[in-house]
Amino acid sequence: MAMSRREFLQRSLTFGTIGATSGLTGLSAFAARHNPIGEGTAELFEKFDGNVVLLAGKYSGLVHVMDLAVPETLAWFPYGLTGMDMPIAHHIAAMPSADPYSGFDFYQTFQPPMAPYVDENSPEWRNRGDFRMYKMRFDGSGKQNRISLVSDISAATGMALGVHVAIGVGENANKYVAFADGQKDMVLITTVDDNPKTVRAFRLDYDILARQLSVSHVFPDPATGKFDYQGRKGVKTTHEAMLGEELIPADTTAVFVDAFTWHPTLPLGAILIRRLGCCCIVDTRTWEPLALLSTGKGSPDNFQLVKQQGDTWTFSVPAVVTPMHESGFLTNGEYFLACNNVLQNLVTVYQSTDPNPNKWKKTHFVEGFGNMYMPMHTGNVPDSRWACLTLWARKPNNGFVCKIDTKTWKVVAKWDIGPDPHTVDCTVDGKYMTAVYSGHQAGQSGLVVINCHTDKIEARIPSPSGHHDHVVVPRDWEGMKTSRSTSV
Amino acid sequence: MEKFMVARRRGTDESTLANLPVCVGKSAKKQGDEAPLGRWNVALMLGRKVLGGTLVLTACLSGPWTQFTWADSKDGVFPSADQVGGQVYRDPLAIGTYFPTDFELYDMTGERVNLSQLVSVRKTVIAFFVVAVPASVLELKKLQDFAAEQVPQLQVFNVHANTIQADLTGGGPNRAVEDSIRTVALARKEHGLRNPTFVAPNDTMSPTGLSNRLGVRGVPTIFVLGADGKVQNIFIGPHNWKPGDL
Repeated sequence: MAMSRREFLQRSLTFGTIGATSGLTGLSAFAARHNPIGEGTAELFEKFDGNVVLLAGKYSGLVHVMDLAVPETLAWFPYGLTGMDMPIAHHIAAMPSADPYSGFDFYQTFQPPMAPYVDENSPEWRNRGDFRMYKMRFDGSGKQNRISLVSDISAATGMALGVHVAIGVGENANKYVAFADGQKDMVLITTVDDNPKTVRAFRLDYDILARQLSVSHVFPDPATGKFDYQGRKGVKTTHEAMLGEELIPADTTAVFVDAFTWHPTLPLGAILIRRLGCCCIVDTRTWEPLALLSTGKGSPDNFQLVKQQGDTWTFSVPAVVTPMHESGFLTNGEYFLACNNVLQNLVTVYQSTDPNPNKWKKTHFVEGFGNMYMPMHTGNVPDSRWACLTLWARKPNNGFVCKIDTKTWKVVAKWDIGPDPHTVDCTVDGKYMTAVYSGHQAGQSGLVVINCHTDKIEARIPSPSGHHDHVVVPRDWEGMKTSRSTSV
Repeated sequence: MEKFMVARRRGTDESTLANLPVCVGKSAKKQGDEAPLGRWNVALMLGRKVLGGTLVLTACLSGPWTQFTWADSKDGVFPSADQVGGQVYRDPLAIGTYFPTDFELYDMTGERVNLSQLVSVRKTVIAFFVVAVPASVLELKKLQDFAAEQVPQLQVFNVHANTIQADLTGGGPNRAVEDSIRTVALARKEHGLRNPTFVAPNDTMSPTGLSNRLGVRGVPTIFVLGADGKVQNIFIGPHNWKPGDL
């Protein structure tokens, strides 16, 4: 039964609290939102009321906002409209909103499609797409929902990065957003307002002969106030290393920076460094690197600072026992989880409560994933009781999602959700975990909703967009800590 | 008939999969697991379709021989550290050792070439590069100009230590060498590269993959070989070439 917004509002007034009738307690009186009452699937999905899911279509080049409680798409936007040929909508993060049906802001990164459609500088692809970061806005307050571009952060700052985006939380809430890139090995921190300003930028380089990592602050041109790193400028490799490809021959200085994740309670953040199996912990008050965690099993807890000269910190990295991909903090900040892969497919757990990260120790290892499944994306829950992980596998294997008990650090549930699983994220009430699959492989694909308590997959929704990332829009800054800020 | 045993999802699995072990390694031991579609499984699927039964499948999967694992990109098995030199940044071939010449190599026409014939009885420089790494391509031109001026009699080869993965564009592995040659040919033209250039398939997941055998993690990596085929010197990364280096 289709219902217009006018009809819906009339019925709301007629029957009083529509929430009591349908269970859609979060319905905004002003949002263009379908009410599925009386439809065959209404009861199945009403339990997801309050959850707006933002899904980036990596290969389709579009983004869509989904009301999980109907389910329906509230709005969609093809990024090609902004002038990019074959945009790769890579990673995404949403600002909190008390009423996400009415509106919220979000960030989207892009990388050129020459990678990883093909993993080289193939002639047909190399001039398509772009590195960019956009601030976007979903507006559901009118008669027709819409998504629009708020600002091109890459143009505003002169630095274009294409991998993870993570919004500050805790002491950094409502102040900063971080972008990272593994082709340029750079990180950019900007303000979160509509006219973003550069706060700090980093560049990382490995000296393959001296076996030392340099972490440097880089600065914009004082004359223009901008960097000169738009488009492909600054790339060390013309494609991002595919998942599990950290052993490929690459630029001798390449370290494959992946993300910047935020500590939820301390003024700290972590630069994730894939190829070196390291995480550089940064003081977000001064932006100085404080420690370099070495996340592999059998390696020291951290690598030593050799020297600091001007704006460059040099660490000794004599040996890398395994690459690492994603890492981040639990919602409560008590532990830092590093997902090692390729040579060691295990999760290293650091206790991360000490303000001095040089004192963080490896306390546990989550192991037993074998040699075909690599721990990758992490999803948090509000009470930190569990952590969910994607275990990605190369074709022709499916991979899976698992739940880890954060008291025993054992895997307590697993789900084969489909091929090529990517990010996992928690619903606002902490009851369910959403996960997308087939971000790359162009076969079976969609989104699943897992009950964190019963371990049952409650729903499966198809999508042909090729999702490598998605996020449930948090309701407030506390909820932001379970979103894609503390972990990626 | 369960026609698509792997590629089609059965809705009844949704609640039963939870808490069951997901297949780790090469065997599926409990109902509900989806076995990886490796080389053994393809054969088993065919056998199952032909014989129409499940007993054969179950018996074969439980056999100890299915535990055999070989790290490479075909079955999606990651190598262990021990298999690839102990760590990410392993050392390259040692100076004084024989340079292997038995790896797969293609010229710009797509013809398979025999490296041992090319390098025999002549001092040779082999420069490994990847077109996706701009610094490595730029180094080829520097090396070319320096060698032409300083040691014109020297034989210098460029070897592209990777192949393009064209799976999502419909090419698949069969087009890897062809597409790589096309791309490398463009780089040669754009950068004015004249030295003989080859494409070498490189499976980084395999212990016997080219870069794992040679210990090449960064490009350019340039090996100087004596007429006896032994490694005389190695240059890793961009280099300021000076007389005596080659």
